[in-house]
Amino acid sequence: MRRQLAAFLVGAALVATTGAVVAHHSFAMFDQQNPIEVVGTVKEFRYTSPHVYIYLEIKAQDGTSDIWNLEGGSPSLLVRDGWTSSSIKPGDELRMTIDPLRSGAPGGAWQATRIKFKDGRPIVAPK
Amino acid sequence: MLYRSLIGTVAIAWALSMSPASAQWPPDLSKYPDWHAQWYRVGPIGQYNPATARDNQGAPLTPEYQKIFEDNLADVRQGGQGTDPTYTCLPDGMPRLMNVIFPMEIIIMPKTTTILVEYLMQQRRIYTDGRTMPADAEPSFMGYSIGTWHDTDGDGRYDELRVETKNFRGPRSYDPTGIPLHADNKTIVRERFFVSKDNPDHLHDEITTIDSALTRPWTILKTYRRERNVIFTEGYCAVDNPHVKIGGENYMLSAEGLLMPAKRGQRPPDLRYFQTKR
Repeated sequence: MRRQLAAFLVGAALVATTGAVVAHHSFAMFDQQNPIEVVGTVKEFRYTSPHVYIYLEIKAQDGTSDIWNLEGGSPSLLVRDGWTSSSIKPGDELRMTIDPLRSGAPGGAWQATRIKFKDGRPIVAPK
Repeated sequence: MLYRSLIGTVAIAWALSMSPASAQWPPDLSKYPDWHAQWYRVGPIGQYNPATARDNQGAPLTPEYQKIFEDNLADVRQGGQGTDPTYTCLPDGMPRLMNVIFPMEIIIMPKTTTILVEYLMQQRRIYTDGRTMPADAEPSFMGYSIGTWHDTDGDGRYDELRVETKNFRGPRSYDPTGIPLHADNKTIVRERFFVSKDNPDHLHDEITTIDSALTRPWTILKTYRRERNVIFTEGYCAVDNPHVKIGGENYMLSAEGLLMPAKRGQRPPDLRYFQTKR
């Protein structure tokens, strides 16, 4: 399942883009040197501090799926860019560049500058 | 009779004058500086010494604690959390709190100055009422802080707050890189808070740490930027924190709440106390 899922990830192993995710704790468990792009459907958006979480269902080619736990920034900073707890809703389809867990388990980290809706719209319109 | 009544009246008046209810309200804050609104850190997030590279912040660690720090870095390279204790939502404590990951509010009153930091809803209270360090206070992550106000330019208003903080508990580190403080928790933190002469919206905190893990006192300078459009959010870390520590190892919870490995090739935790056979 994991291998099939990995094969389904879009544009895996992208070149590292913006700076490493750094927060109140180490993000060393996330592989920031080898980000990947994933497309999936939001099961839940947890707008909590100090990190927000997106539970994203990603389907494999064989029809099976995993729900990934994806850790983002903080409401403390996101609120300044217009984010709210309803910026993302269950059922939304997202395209995200994430730093996956080094262990290969379905988890990762993301930055607000590296995610958008699947159709290309920004999550929050620029001010 | 009249004499007794007079004594009673005087006694009551004296008692009232000594009660908290008789303290001046509203207090006279005219001598204190205007540090209101919201303060954001200037410099990189989650880095104790903002004047250096993140990987070499200049902590004068003893050989023993330099080894602990380097072992921590090796663990971090594998995806571990090393000697950083806060990923399970333990409080920063001092002096790490002054990294001000998320914004800070400073509430000045004549007898106390309270510092509120949004991250983890942490607070520290600095007593400026002339008290001395108590002998029986319980150790705490923030320690016990006693401050004094100073009028350094002689204009009749205070412009600098000097603080000494002691009586800590741990574990604590300076920032997420895991620079450790000594396990004996005999840390002394001395601070000078003052606003920039050039910019009233820049607050500085010069922090000197004396600790058994250091070969000499370590002084760094923090700067905070005033934001007058105040927006605070709630910062309770434990609400959805998926990072857990079991048997000294860090793991992560999945979206379904199941345990996931955080490191490549990480073994599951010791389950010796679970009797159920699969």
